[in-house]
Amino acid sequence: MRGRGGAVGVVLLGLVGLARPGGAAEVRAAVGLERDDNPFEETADGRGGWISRLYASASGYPLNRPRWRAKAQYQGGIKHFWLAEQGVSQGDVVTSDLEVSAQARAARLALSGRGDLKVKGVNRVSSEEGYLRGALEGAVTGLFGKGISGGAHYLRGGDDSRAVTLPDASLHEAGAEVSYSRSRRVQGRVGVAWRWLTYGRPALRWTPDDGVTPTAADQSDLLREVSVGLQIYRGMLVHATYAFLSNRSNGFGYGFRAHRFHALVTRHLAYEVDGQVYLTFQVRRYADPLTPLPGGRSEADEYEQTVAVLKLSRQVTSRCGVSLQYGRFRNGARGSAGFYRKRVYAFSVDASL
Amino acid sequence: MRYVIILIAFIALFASRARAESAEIDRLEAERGRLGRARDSLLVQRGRLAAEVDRLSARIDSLRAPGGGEFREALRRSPRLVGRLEGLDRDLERAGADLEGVRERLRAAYDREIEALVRRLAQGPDEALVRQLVVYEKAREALGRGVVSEGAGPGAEALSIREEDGPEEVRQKADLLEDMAGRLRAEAAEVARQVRQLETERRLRARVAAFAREVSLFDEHLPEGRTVSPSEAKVGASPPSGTQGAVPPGVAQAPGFEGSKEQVRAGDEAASQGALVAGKEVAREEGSSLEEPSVEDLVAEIQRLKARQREAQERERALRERAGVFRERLRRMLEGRE
Repeated sequence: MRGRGGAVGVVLLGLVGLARPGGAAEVRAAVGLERDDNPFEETADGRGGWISRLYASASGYPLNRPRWRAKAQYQGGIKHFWLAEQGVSQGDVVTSDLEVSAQARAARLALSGRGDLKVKGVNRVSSEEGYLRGALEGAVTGLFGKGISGGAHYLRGGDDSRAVTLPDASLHEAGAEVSYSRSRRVQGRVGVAWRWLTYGRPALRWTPDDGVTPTAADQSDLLREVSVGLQIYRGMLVHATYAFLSNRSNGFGYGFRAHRFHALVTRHLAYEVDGQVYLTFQVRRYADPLTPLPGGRSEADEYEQTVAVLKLSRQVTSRCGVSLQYGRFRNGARGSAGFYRKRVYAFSVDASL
Repeated sequence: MRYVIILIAFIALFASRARAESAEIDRLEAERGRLGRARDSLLVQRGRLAAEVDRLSARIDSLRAPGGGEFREALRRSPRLVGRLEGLDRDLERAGADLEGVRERLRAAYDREIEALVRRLAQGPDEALVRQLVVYEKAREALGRGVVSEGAGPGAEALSIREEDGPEEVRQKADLLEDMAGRLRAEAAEVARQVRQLETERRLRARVAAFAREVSLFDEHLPEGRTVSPSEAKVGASPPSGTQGAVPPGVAQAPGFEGSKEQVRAGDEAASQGALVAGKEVAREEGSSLEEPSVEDLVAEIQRLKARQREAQERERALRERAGVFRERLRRMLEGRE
């Protein structure tokens, strides 16, 4: 099935790529080596190891007219783990993502559509999950006034899981967004989204007598999200997003409220070296305590994710650059016992055409 | 290995597609290529012929003393070869002129296309147009500036040397032209500074976008929620025996309930209270993909500024040329030749 997904991607991209000559293209590739002190994300006694990585992306415009355009973008990557986990042989993660989008534009209105197919294959790496994901999206955007624009979208998608730890899922999403650009250097946006998710697993129910038991219905969630984003450039580029998420589930244990924050800061340092800092923080509080007794909450009722990455990049030639990266990851229940932590040191070389 | 081949195939597919679109530009580029090849061929022929002429001249020199039939034959061949050489030179000159003409038309075509693209981009950001603009801009820069025959700028046309102008008037006009050229140089330098700043901003945005794409591809930014599994025992009753695989009947086939990793991560506290915790809820946050900052508007602005810089430089050059002509005229006037 994984091979079929990849083949479908190849055929689709080939078709759109050959549909019409012309259209500017961009190709980028990066190869790197990283040292991860806990690649299998163990909560205790993590074993360090080396991981090599290859990443490539290519995009082009099979159709490009003043009012119509179509874009195809392909990304692919391989992560090879040079250490074995639990006595088995070395593993790898292979990811492939094809996105085809089209847009029709009138004076102040644009209609767009997008199709996305992503395949993630995982071979002997327990910390990763394989899946085949597809999504179709339609959107309308418009200019409302000077610097103000907005739009709405609808997305239909689904995940076919390749891992026992990951359920299949079916997704509907609707959302709207308004953005304001005071100038090119200061932009802000506000968005709302509703996401209906149906999982391929039974919903759970808790009763004082029976405890946690499965029901006949599949788990079905509604995730609501309100987000604000800001992009500022004043010598350094700051790109930040905050989102509040509220998930309501028909199954016990999956309702939660969360705060999520992403920030990407980058600036030129010296000697042609640019520095980037990426931060992401999310904290969730689950609605159903796993100790469903009055006043009882366990450490697993709150979840936290923290990622901090520092990256230094230098352009060696017009087409080639090198990067050094240091990252810290913390993920899991908020209590000390439920975390896994890891640090990653990486070196990479990238080239673009 | 299969994926590596696919990656390479995609790269090759897209790399081969980065080329200009306009039919006129395509035709002119083809014409330029043909003329370039014709000129190269003529140059090769000319090189061979020149070598033959040189050999013949040397032979004539060596035969001059003894005389004889061979000497006369060499003398007879010599004018023919020189004639052919002159003919080739004329052809070369024509080919060079044709080539320069095509280049000039190509420059004009690129300028028109660039101007049209910039106008279209002013109506709103469009990544495809921006990329096309970059391709055209590079091609235009590769063609060079060409012969500046016009474009001295507004006001400069009025500055011409009239019959009644004396040395002082001519000097003043030359000074004025040089002042105007100086201002244009300062303007071009200021625009170049702005371009450098924008290029830095564009590079930073592109870095952020590339980073976001790569992180998203490998799901390295996604959170992991908890997964809840029912236990064998009721809550409050005796805890399950250990933390391994407490999967109730009826849910064993459902994904998400069988992985040993979940049990590894399960807190003892939670397990003892009747539920297992952990597992990943990755790949469910479609909307949480990292946003990529756009570089479209920035590239458009850079191209606009570059066009302005080029125009200022060309006008400055034209003004300096005219000022030079005025100075030469002044020198001749002062020497009394006019």
